[in-house]
Amino acid sequence: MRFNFLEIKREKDRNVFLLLALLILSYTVGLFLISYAVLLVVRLATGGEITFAEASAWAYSVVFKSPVRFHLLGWGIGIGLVSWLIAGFSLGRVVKMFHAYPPDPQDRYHKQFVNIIEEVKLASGIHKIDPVILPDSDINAFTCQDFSGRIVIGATEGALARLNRQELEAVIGHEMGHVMSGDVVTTTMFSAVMSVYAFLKAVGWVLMRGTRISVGARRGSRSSSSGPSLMFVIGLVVFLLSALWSLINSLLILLISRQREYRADALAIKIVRDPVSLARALIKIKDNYKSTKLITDQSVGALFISNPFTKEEEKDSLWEELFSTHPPLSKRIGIICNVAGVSVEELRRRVLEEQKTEARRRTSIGLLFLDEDDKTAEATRWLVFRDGTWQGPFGVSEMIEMNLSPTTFVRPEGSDVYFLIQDNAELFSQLFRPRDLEESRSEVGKGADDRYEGLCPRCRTSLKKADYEGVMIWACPECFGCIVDKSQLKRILLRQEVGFSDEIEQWGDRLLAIKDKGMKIIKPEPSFICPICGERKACPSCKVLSRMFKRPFALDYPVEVDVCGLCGRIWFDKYELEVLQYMFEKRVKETGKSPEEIWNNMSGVPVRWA
Amino acid sequence: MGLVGTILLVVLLIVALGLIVGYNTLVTLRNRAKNAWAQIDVQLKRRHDLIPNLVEVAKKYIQHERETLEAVIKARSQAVSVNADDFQERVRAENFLTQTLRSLFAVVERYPNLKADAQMMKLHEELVSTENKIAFARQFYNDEVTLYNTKTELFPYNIVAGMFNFTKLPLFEAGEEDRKEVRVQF
Ligand SMILES: [Zn+2]
Ligand SMILES: [Zn+2]
Ligand SMILES: [Zn+2]
Repeated sequence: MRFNFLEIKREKDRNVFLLLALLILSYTVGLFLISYAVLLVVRLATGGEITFAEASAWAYSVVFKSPVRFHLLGWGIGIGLVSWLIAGFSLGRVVKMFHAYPPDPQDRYHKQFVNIIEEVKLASGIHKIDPVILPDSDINAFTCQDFSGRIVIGATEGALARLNRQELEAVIGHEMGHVMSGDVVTTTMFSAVMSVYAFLKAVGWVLMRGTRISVGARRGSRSSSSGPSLMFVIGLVVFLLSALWSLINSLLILLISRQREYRADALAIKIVRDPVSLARALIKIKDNYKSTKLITDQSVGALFISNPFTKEEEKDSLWEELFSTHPPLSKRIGIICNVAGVSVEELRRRVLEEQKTEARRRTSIGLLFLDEDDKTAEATRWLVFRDGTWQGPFGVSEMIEMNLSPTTFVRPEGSDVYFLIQDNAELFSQLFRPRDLEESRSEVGKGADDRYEGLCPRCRTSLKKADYEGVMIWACPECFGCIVDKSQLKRILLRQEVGFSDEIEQWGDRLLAIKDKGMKIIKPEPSFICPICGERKACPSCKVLSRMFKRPFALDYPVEVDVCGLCGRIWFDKYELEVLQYMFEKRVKETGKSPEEIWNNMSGVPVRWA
Repeated sequence: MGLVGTILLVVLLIVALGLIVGYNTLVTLRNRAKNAWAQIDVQLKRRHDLIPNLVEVAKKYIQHERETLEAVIKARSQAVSVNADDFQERVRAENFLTQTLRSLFAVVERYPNLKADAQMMKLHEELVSTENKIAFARQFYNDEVTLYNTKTELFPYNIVAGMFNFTKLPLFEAGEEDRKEVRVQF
């Protein structure tokens, strides 16, 4: 039977709604049950010659019949709401936890990601979204939302590097699906429910422990009455019941979480209208899955398109499924392929074949020099309504310096359709960037400085902007040397656009064959002044600091490069970057490890200075 | 004032209130549709601005099949010069431009050097994105217009619409190739 995405969405909507109602019910019933049990124990212990049935009837009448039930209900809901508010994500915290940074506008892959977010904004009608990028080399994406309604959608560098445009768009559509159905808000609700029961569990534990210790302390002074104390029993009951109930709640939560994944897949198809690309993206995620350890907080797992905590191989057993936030990828792929009317095997075969033939590779050299003026960046110029007249036209960068308010009228040059800046999501996000995201840029992804004008240390010609694997770097048009910083280098190594000539492959193989893996003592060999930070410093003593040293890139990668002693940027002569990239990819392929691991090992083996 | 007078006053009040609410609803819906149109207009404008750069870069590499380049240039100048008030004519010109652009992209695929040109890669990405935005914004605009148009036909809005001259807004119909509901491609 063929499904239709609307049918899937409707079915999942119903499931999620019912399960949420069930979760709220289970939350309150649990609280009542625990109070009932505590009262029962107290009554049995203090009531003297009372039968179990009588004690039970009394506890029942107190909890469910007297005004106590309203108190219980009120406190239960109140505590739930308070912990919901506490559990609410602060975007700053999440962004920091993932080491996320805003997209580098000079980076071609990042620009594409920003464009896709803009497209999906138009398709969904939701405007308040900020794109962020995670440094992770895994293929993954996530979304997060705080109570103010601000939304962040993030993708990993790995996703940007290894998914094609349509696949990435489908993945972002999935995240958008979560946003549209309010899933991020319910995720915080889940952690609130869980934290209330975790608190009760802790209370029970403390009661048990506390009385045991006091019983032990008392034992020396006078002979204690045999049998456990009342406090210990109450603690035990509270502990056991809340442990049982948090297990039931967490199973319910996981069930809801899995239903929401199906629904987000259906919504992705509704938004992007491209089920095949979504299936292809999930196939790539499934086939390339290597657990990386960058993301460590378990509670955020449900925010990702595929669970970042799955063990090496996903097992399709019922037991595994019961305890996971996401349905098995193979199941999701099957449903999506069904919607699209294509066979899973056929699609997988095509994806694998494409990866093997490396369809995206090109054969020309890596460095592509850019024209002086970038014609795309400010293609559209705007007229701005200020002081009662239309002024301009201005480019976006000029408008940023004008400090306009979001309620200013603008219109594109040559058009008479005008609107408020805040009504155009794209222009709005170009002019007004959230500050906490801007701040995290200072750490990573600084990229090459736009206005920099330096000289090639080898031939003293002016360095020019060049595109290498979509990253904007400074390079020499004469000798094809280039200077790269660490965060740029990681992006370059993850991407697979540049092809390698036979010479480069031979060169790389020769270097890989060098077996000397021991710690090597290297005498620093000063070479030249760093063309980025050296030229800028006027005082001569700083120039000494920003001297570059000739050294092998790393012990396992003995490509001879020059590294700046001050800013750490690396100078690659012609083809050296290609050779390093070839060696990196070959290591990934041969060892079967994740690129993240290879990268960490690579930068973690420094050469000790003499 | 008798009973009849009171009833008349109440009825009058209700009618006046209904008129105000109906009027406001229609104005809101019409503004939303107009805002949705502004989204499309921005993207169409951006496409007009990007195409000359695209042609300039493509010229350097494309030796044969120059007629596709010329078709794009012609389609663009048509779309730019069309009378902005003639909605249907404008939609037709823009759809034609979409078509010629698509065939130009197909030609670009056959020139690996052009595809690997840094400037071309940027322009290609921007144009693909603009095309997608036009498609999504069109969807959004059509939804808003349909909502508004149906409202003007429903009672009691049709009375308000007749009184205050709320005319129906035209839909932005897609070109032949975009009609398919769900894009299925390998
Ligand atoms: Zn998801
Ligand atoms: Zn040089
Ligand atoms: Zn330096």
